[in-house]
Amino acid sequence: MENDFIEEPTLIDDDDEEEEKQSHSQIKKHKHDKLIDSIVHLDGKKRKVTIRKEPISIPNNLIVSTQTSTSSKKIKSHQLLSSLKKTSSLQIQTLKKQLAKVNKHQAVLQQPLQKPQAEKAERIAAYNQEKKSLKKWDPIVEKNRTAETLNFPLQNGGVQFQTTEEFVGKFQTLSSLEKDIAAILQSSNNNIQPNSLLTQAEKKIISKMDLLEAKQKLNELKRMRALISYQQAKFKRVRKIKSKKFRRLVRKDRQKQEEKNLEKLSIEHPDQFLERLEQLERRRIEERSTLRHKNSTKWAKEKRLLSKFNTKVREDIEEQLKLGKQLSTKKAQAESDDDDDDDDDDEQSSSKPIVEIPKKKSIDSPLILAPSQTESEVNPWLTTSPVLPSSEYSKPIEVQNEDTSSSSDSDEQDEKENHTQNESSDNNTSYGITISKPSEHLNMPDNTKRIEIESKQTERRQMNIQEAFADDDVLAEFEKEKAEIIDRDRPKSIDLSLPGWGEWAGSGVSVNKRKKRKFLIHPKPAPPRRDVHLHHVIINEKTDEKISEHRVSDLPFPFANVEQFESVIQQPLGREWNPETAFRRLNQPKIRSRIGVRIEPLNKQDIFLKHHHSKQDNNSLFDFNLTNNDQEKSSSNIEHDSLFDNNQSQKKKFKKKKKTKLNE
Amino acid sequence: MLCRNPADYVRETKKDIVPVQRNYDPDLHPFEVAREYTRAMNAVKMERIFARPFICSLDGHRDSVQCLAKHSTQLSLLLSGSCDGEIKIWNVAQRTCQETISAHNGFVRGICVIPDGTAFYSVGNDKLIKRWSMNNYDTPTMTIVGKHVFTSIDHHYKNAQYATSGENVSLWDEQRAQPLQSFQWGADSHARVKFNPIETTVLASCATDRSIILYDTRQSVPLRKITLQMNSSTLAWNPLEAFVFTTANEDYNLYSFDIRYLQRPFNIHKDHVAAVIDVDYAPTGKEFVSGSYDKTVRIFASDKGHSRDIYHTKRMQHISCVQWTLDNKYVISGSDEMCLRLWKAKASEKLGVIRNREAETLEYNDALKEKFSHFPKIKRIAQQRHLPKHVYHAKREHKTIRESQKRHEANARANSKPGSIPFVSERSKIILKEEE
Repeated sequence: MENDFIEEPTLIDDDDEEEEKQSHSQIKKHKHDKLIDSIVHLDGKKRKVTIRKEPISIPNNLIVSTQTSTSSKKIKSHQLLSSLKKTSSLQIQTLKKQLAKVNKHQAVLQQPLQKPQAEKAERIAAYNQEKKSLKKWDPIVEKNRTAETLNFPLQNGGVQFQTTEEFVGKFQTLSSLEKDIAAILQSSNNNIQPNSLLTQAEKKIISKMDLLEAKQKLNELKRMRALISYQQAKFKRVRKIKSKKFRRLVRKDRQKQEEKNLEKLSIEHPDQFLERLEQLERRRIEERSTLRHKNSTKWAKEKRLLSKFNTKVREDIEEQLKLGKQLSTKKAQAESDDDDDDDDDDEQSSSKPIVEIPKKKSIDSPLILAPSQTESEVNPWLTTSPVLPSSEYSKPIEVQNEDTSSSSDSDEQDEKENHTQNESSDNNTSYGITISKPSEHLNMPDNTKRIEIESKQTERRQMNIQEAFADDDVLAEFEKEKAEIIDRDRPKSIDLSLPGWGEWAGSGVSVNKRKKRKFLIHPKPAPPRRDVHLHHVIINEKTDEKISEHRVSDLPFPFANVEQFESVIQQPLGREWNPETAFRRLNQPKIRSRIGVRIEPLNKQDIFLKHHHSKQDNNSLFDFNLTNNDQEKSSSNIEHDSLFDNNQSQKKKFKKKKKTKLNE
Repeated sequence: MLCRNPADYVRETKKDIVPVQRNYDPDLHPFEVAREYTRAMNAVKMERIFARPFICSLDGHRDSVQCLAKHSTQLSLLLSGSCDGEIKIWNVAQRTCQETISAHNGFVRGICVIPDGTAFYSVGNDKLIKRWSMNNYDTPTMTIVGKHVFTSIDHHYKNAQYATSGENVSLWDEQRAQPLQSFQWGADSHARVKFNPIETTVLASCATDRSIILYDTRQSVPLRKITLQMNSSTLAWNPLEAFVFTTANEDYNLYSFDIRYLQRPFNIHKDHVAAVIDVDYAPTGKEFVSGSYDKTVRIFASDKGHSRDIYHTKRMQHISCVQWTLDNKYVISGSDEMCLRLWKAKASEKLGVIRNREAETLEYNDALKEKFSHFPKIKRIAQQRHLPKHVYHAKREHKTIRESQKRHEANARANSKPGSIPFVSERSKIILKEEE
């Protein structure tokens, strides 16, 4: 800093001198150049600056451009045109027009951004895109956050069921026997081939028929096959039913069917029927005479030993006994008797409701379904047309207003209307809404009278209170009560003296003063009561501290008010207060996960494809903005691609097949 | 005449449940709140009695455990890398070490298993990336020599790609020896890189210049960068919410961010008393576990500011890595004293078969505990934990520090021009800047 200060003034002083110096130096330089020139020319030869040039036939654009650039004089197109004036004017004009067009549309690209700025712009664009694409998760996240329970894993991915074709495709014959059987089965003419409707044997038959007949036969065959498949499906379904009740019903059905058959036989073929009866009788006799289905057989004895441990064996024995009973009972008796047979009892109990339901209905129905017309007129509950209670409610009020606006002279009319209103109000009470309509007020022209009456009424009430408490001295009573409470709450001295303790004497001994003083424990004086200065209040200071320990002091966070919190606490969760289903629903945990089951992160593709499909089915399900989202597009594209691929692969397969066929 | 339908009380079969007639008349069941309160009290006491979270420790490493990785398809497999370059593969169900591989010279910095579970990658201080097959552990199936030390590795959740962190964050293809892409933005070193499990193209890294950077594999540039007050050691993505991640910071806290609003974290999780080293989300996304330098493991609810539970043992040293198993039942921690420890995720949960009735009772008890959780006695029992001495004292110390800081600020505000010292929320304080 000091140096600067020193130097600056000198600079200012030398300003003029410097100019002089410069002029001096220019003169000097000029002289110097001259001197050098003279020295150069001393040896007589001219010094040439050689410019290297290559011989070229075609004028080079580059050189021209460089030259122009060096000269910094750009030649404009119109300048070039001006040199063409000598040629025909038409051509020039067209050229000019073209040039003007070119000049007009000449859009010059802006200079590219610096690298850091360019990268920043790119980053911002990328981030915004990402932000936008993440928006689609909002409803899903919201759903998961607010869900009452989440059962993990959320998507049961990986569980795939094999189709029958897949299963059959994987099946391989193992042993030679199996292979032989398969070969024999496959060689049969009665196998249905996968792509044909008919077996070879059927084809043979049909080929021998004429066309119409063949068509009929074919249709019939189709129908039969369909029926068979339905029947098979039904049998399969029925076979899988494990309910014992159902089995029993089936058995009973079968028995009934047999009985019916018997009856039929009795009408159609009496001989056969008699035979059948005889057969049954014989069986019964045999059953009664032998001990076959009794507990005493060898088999039953053995089984009885096992039955303790094996439930199935027990069931077998029971079945056996039941069979014996069934066979030994007389047919006619069995229907009348209830007591001797357990099974029959069961049957009745099961069949009872089926029989009784229609009966009950027939009894109940006149009350509910078919009300008599007179009833419906009287009782508004039973009217068929839906009437809103609010409309009913508003009607009489309107009437009332009309009354007040109209003159009070027409008393008779009013009375009539009142009557009608009363009737209507009688009807209305059945909706649970009581309409306050004192008939005195209706005929009153002014409100002032009413107010007077009201004020009078209140005065009267106060008077009543005073009259009622005239004899009692309430204030004195209150003070007395307060004194009592104060006295009660005041800590009292405790007398620990025991008469007779430490003295030679028996009964009736008085405790001496010294001992009394010694064993009388005086408590500390209590702090002043909070209601000392409040003569009209008693503050209870003896709150139970043990209970207050268990109480909530502040309103906890998620609750908006005390009522909310209390209502939650008042709602019991246990089995004693809730039915089983409600108990389970109330106590279900927020998260359920099973041990040993892997939970994978959400699969985007699954979720959005699912939604996509559901959207296609039902447009108003979710309002996901799927179309905006690139990811989604790509995922759906993937799906389409895969579909496409499948088609392609199928086509390829077909082609291959064709080729192989051709080769064959 | 008294008449009963036998169907109401007779069982169809002997194995059928006994029909129980209940009378819900409230007069017969009085004092419901008081009775349920007592039940809740008993339940919460029972919970604390049965809270025995520690299951076992897996020992066998000869140096401190550096990294942990869950197997992606098998629940029982666990991989751990230690500071002496060994990788051990554990069978957690049998509590045995299946295999020991001497994989690297120096630290094993990171391990990741590929999605189908047939191979895994490891990186180490020797600048190598090694791919190991799960069938043959003798030699790596592939080795890539890197240009710098790799600090972590993570695999893409769907594709055959993985990312490494080191001097930069690089994206690799499984089939190539050169990275597909390298991201660099300011920071000279990155501690950890993690792929998003749901939006699988997104990944984030913790850089050592206190910043967290987001990337997308489809973009040539990073997305965004935020700088916090202190360094973040690692981060974990929520597996249920695509835009949520949580970072473990060296200022003893964890911060949960929504990547669409990076100006401030949407939650601060406080309780640790030393730098948080590792964090991992439960597969349900509702909770996460964190391991800290204060030798404790804590479990946080992802939407709560304070921890639900703290796990510690006398012998456990600084935690270096934690993992939450994929069946949501266990937590595994690796620590400096060469041991892995297996904990129950829910401290009082019964392991093993639970019959239906028992499960219903447990659910009822849980519901009661939650219902009465605001009552002071129950709250006290449910929240009280015996802490290690150093944690207890540190907690008190930090409390006084925080209070004094608050007091100073309040004093400064009281003694200056109104409005000159603005109120800044705790959450926005920690973000120094968000760079575009």
